[in-house]
Amino acid sequence: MEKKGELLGVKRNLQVRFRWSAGPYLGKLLTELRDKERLWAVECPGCGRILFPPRIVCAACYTRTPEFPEGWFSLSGKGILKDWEKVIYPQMDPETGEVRSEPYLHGTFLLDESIIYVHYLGPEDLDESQLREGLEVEMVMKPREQREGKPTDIKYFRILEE
Amino acid sequence: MARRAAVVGVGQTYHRARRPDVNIGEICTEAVRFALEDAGISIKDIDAFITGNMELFEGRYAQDMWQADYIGAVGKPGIRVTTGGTTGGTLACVAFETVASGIFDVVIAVGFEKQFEGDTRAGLKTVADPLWTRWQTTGAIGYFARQARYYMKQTGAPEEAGSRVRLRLAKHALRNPHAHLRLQLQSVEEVMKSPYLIPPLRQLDMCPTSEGACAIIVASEEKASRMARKPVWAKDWITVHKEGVYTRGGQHSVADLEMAAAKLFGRNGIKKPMAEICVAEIYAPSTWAELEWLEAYGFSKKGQAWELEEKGQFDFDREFPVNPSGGVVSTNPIGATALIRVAEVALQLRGDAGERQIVRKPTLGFSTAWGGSGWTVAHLLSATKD
Repeated sequence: MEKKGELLGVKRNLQVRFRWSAGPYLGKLLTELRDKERLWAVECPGCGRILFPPRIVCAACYTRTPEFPEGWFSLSGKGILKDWEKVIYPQMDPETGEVRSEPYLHGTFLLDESIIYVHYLGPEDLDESQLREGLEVEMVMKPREQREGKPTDIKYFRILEE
Repeated sequence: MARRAAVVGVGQTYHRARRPDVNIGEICTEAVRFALEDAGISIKDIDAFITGNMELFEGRYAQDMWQADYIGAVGKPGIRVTTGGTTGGTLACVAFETVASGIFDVVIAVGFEKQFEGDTRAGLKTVADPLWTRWQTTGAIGYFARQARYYMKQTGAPEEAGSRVRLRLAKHALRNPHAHLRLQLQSVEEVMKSPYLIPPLRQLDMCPTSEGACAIIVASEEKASRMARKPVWAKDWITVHKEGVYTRGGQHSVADLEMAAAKLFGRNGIKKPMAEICVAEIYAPSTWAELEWLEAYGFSKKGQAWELEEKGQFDFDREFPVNPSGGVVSTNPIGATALIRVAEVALQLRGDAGERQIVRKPTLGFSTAWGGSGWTVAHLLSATKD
């Protein structure tokens, strides 16, 4: 029976399946990361800018870039810590829709090739009070059997001992 | 420009976290009816409809079809615009362009959002490339926390700088009967008691999720001269994208805002924006973004907006008031948010902003939109036709 003053709302949960194509540039980058533990960038043949991740055209001059391996170069996987942030509020993992309940650290890194890259900063028990800009970092891969051809095949970046 | 276009009517609902009293169509009806009433015309006088909202928020495909009955668009031409956070700004651009080009004489732009009906965070996360950067997104909060840190580091601004912005905007919002959040904040210390979302970003630094709608009516010079209200002229407008943030990842940049301002002010001969523009409604989802973006648009030297804020330069009774409406941190029905910026500037230039009317008599106003962290829209509105 209708309650007096009731304002009806209806709830639904939807689940949708997506199948995204990576294409030859991002696809190669991700399979190289999964299988050979290497990241790659490509130099624009038109203006010399470095494109990371590699893309089919340069956003600045719209020159077509070559497909792997021509003009591509591998990154050292090392760099320095520029900045970091601690995510402390419950945050949905966009890959799964589940809530990430634990706090975690995001780092911004300046890689050896002058590329800025954002990834987890680890390991989980990392002492945040020891962090400062300029510390040397390197990427740490997940065990081979856990890799899926995703950027998160890199487990995190870790601080190198001084 | 082929013809001049003018804002001749504006309508806005009241905004709340939830509006369970109306469905999506009905909330748009409210805004349309207010705008028609303001312009003193009927739905028969409208030639075309430009409508918009966030693409995925309420989970409805072809929202313009759903809306047609409710906004009076049946049997008439119309376009749906869904450009994310900039939607409202783009709605105004399309309305100006269709009138200026001579295609239509009178159009209405309608933006709305009912954020509670879907999942804002889930919708926003789809902005990022699913194969490269989506995993690392922390939604708007993560982006603006990083932006706040970056601004503090670059400028040496203290943590209270963001809270000072909130205090100004809260005071402004108290004068605006449409504002969603009307907070009785008395001091910076009080704002700083607000909990962190991600340090240094606090809950009160960030915009709310709101439900509401806004509509503006745009007319040609000939039609505008026959309408009830003083026309507010669309002087110029611009849309700028920067290199894809979420395909590229990487360092924080406001290149899109800088490019937009340089081009828009450059081609209109504006050399000192803060002196020549009388009022600005800036689409800034956080207090820290407002500081950084005022600099990017050229209203302050780099690294100094927080000091101007300390001196009260952006207050409602000064020469260059910013967000006399209370801004986006007070009210944020996203698909309408940027259209509200245009509507508020139009009211100010007409002198019809009621209790929130700024003290200076404004002749030139500036409204902006921003979205997806790579796209900005900006408009110049003028009280006179020249």
